[in-house]
Amino acid sequence: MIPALERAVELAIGAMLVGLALWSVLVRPRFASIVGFVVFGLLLMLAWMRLGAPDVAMTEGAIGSGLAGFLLLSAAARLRCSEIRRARIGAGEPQRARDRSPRRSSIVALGVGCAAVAAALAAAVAALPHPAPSLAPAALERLPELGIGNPVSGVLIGFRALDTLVEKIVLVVALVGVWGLAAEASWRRAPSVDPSPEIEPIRFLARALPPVGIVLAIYLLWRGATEPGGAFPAGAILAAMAVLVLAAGLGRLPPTAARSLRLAICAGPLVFLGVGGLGMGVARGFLDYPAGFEVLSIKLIEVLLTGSVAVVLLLLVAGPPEEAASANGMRRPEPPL
Amino acid sequence: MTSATLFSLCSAALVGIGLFGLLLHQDPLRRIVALNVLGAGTFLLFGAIARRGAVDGLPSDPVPQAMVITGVVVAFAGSALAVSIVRRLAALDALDGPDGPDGPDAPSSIEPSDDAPRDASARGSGDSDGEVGGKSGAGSTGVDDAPRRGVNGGAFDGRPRRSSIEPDGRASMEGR
Amino acid sequence: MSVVAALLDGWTVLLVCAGIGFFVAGTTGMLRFPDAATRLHALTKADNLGVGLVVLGLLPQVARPAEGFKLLVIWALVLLASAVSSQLVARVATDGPPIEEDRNGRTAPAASGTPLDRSGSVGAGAQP
Repeated sequence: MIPALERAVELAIGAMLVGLALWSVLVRPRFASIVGFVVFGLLLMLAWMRLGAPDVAMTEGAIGSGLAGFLLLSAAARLRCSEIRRARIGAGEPQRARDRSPRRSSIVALGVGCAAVAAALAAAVAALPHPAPSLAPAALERLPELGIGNPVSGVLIGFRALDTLVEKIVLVVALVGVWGLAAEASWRRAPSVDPSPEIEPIRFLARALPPVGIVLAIYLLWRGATEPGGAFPAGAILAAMAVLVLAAGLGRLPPTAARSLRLAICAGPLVFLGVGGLGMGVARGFLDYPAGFEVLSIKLIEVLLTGSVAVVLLLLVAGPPEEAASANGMRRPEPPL
Repeated sequence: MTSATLFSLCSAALVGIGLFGLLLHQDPLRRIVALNVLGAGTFLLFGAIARRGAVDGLPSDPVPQAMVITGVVVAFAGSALAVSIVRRLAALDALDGPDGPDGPDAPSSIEPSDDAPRDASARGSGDSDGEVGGKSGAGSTGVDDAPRRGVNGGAFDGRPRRSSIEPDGRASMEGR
Repeated sequence: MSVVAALLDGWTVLLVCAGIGFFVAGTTGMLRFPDAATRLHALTKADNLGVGLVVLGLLPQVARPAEGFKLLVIWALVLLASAVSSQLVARVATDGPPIEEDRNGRTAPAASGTPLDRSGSVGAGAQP
């Protein structure tokens, strides 16, 4: 393409990004703010493509825009319901009185301060060294040792495997935190995804789309070794399909006490840890894959990680188990084992 | 102007906008959205710097890209935890009724603060230990909690979660 | 051979430009029409046709048949998503706002004068 035209497209994407960010921060209704944020995430995918990072674009689109959008929208609907209930019993006013809005002068001061932060950041970016430091040559040089062709996957699962491992553990810890917010009475029950208020079209979509989504996830996982893709986008797509099925009321999550669920959550990180620990005996150190078995180890870890990522993302979207779910005729808590 | 420069300037603007929203709003959900905008700006800065490190055969340095992929997932986990806290607080607020027993605590606990995850995870593990208690929890909380509320009512002695669980138990008793 | 290539390029330019024209028309309709039904009318028809034209226009440019297949799959998925989302929007728009509904299906008193306007937020107060 003509360079000037490319610049024009990039300029348009950047301008729309800034405009949508302003919209989603400043617009008054919560719903509009969240929808603005979802669109912002989709535009961000285009920006990532222009920056030559299709792996990030896929992850950003699936998680940062799709799943986070669902999470925020369903939370907004929840909050609205509880506010209506609260207003009906007349408890809304004291809460409202406490939330005094800031004075105009302090808003202006805040705006000036944040603009100063942005300007300082822009100045720092302008002062970055030339030529830019890069780890790309080092990554490219050692990539053949791992037996995979996609440098981003290589960094994620090979060179910086410790980051990925710890991130998986962070995901599990975050899930423990979410479950810990369950009320005493609903602990050990099944978490649930809020059903759609208009069930029929969602039900149709939930029957038509998951086969395509599952094939797409397997394809992304499989080709992630050589081309953009990999465990994260694949897991996110699987989680999105599961959210769709649950929101349509076509399925139900197992209770948090179920052994199989807990095993699925932990399988990915545990196998990752196990293979990594094996490296201390067989190879040169922790998270060093045994020579000759790199591809096998990486494939094993990636497949299990995809499953665990999908399950954990789904459960993070579903939130803590709630009493309302059991009151609506959902399943009873299992007897303690 | 290269695309790296353009998007790094854009990311600086996004960081400023996200910060503004984060500090401006009192509604926790709007704060989470603003925090996500701030995070997106930070990630985009990583992307621009990765783009500057392009070499022959690679349009972008893979190491910052991998960090961003990790970061996007962790940011989502953080948002999910924050949303769960907000939803729980809203549910408790709605159940409180007009008398609003924990009035003074409510504004401070609405803050999606940094130590909330630690607090929440500690609580989660505590619950998983007491499995037998969890079984009979629904029946007994209302009875147990009535005196405890009297003793512990306004005291903010390092167990804020306990006081916020109680209204739920009471409400479930009322529902039956 | 170059004549064929030029013809294919011309086909691409023609169809993609036509698709963009439909997008512009649909977006104008969405911004200018008065209510949800007419906006949906503009958006769904024009945009589905626009996506179709863009995909058809891009088909001669693919390097491998697999890429063309992916483009067609994208088209089908966009059609599916568009159909479902427009159904949802239309149902919500015609059945009355489910926003007024409780989670248990009870309907809140619509004209109760609750202070929850569409902003519906506890502390969204400060706007310039």
